[in-house]
Amino acid sequence: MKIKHISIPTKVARPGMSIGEVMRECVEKNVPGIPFIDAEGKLNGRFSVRHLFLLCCIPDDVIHGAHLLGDDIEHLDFPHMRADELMEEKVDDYIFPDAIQLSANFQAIKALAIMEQFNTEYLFVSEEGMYQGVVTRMSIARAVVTKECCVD
Amino acid sequence: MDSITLEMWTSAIVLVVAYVLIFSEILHRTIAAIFGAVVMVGIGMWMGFYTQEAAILAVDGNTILLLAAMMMLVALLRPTGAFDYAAVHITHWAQGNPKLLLIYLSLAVSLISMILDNVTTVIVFAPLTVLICRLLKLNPMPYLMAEAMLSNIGGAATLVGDPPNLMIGSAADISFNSFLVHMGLPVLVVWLGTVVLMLYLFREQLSHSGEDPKTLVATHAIKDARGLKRILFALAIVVVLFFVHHNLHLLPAYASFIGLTVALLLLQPDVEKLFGTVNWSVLIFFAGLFIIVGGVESSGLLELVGHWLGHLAKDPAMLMLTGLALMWIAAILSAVVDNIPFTVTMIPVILGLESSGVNIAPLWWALALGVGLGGNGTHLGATANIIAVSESEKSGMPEARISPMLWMRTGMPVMFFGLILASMVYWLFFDMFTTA
Repeated sequence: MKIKHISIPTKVARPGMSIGEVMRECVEKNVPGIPFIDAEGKLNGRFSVRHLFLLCCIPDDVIHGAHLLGDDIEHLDFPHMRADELMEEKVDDYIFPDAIQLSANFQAIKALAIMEQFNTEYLFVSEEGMYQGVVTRMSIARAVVTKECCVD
Repeated sequence: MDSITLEMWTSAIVLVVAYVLIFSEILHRTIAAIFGAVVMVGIGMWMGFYTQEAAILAVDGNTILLLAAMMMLVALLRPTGAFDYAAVHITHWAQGNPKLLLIYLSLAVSLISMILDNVTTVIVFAPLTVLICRLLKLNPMPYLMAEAMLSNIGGAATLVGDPPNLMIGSAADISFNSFLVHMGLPVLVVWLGTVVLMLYLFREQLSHSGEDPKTLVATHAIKDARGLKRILFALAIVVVLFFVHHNLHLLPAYASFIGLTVALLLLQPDVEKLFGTVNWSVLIFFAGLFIIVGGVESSGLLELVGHWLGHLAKDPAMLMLTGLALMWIAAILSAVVDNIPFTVTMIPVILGLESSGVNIAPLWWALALGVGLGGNGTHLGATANIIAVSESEKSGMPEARISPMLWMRTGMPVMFFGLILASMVYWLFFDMFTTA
């Protein structure tokens, strides 16, 4: 099963776009992140929903002591949790530098192995240098369930 | 032997170059120490004042092995959740009172630092402190600074609380009990004085009561109750052995390895993973320093320095002043540079004084007090300080950020006030400090 058959085509994040625009694309396509293409047209990192939450909403100490938190913690006031303001912010400051790109002709098993190696849920797929889409664990699982995996 | 030979000059130059590389951070301090050690042995062999065998013997195995064993014991204790459990209960006991919370958290960190490595203690407590403050709507800055500074002071009280103490105790053959008896009083006075001073310096930040501490629950704090009981049993063995190691003619390192063996047998952890938790970089750094200073010692330079200083310190009337001067110089240097290289260098100098007929016991205590208290002066003075600063930055709370200037505004008064108190105790009870 080649990943070109199961990648999910998405828009890319570009300099100046708002977090809201980029987040909506991730939510609509059900992908954990999309590539960031800089002003020169080069892949220069990725927008990741997980990293946005880590940067804006979950400080290290809260992660460290998550098991100690009681139920009554509504008063926790995360400074960046004001969603409206956050959605208006430029995406440029929230780009994660690592972005792993695979050839569209890679087999799904190789994509899964690379996901394990880099402890990630998703990878970007490109063909002849052109971005094609995102392959996720769930998109591979969907292909297995729907028998799409039988394609070549 | 009154003149400086070519060998002495050469070894001194290698030492100075290595220390410049360490302090300037041009190279990582471990790389600089390895480089200095290799060069010292090579040049020493070529010039005939140092050998490979002498270099190996210069490494204080007691210090290195004890630190390694304690690092592994802490690594076994940490995942059980014991520290989390303690932090939650301390928060509940303080009942949202910011001053009590500062005292309780600092006391806990100080007491733990007396037995376990204070850097690890602060690494574990700092994020918990920020979380507690976030939940109680308090500024974590005073708590982080107090924990780091008071853990530095607490660690100075025992043989195993701070690496310089371990090096001093090992070189001077000072027992755990003797260390506690001699250092206990000055450290207690300095600790209490520092708490009072901090409550005053942070009076503004500590004036507002916190939220209900029930937002923290201890239910899930203990992750491995069975493992915790076993590691506490092993640690109890270590502590008991520390108290009697001199009577049983055991080195502290061997005592800690007995406890570690018990822990390993009871817990049977993943050994590869456990050994990965040992901070080899620190241990190799210490070994490198021992080899560098061993070379200088072999060249005869440190004996010569000891001989010169011996004229000054031989006069009993001058001994106390020499001790006080050593304490203050050690403290001021420790505030700006790593206190370990200074301690490693001073040890053979002080040992050299003994051969000149000087009672060196008061100098050991002065050195231990100086390097222990000096680390509080600047944020670079101790590793625990750097951890507190880093945690304040990670918190994302602008009011919590500890800048180098902010640290100095609190750290300098704390350091000088502590030194004044320690000097007074040293002066008033000087007779006590004349024995090791």
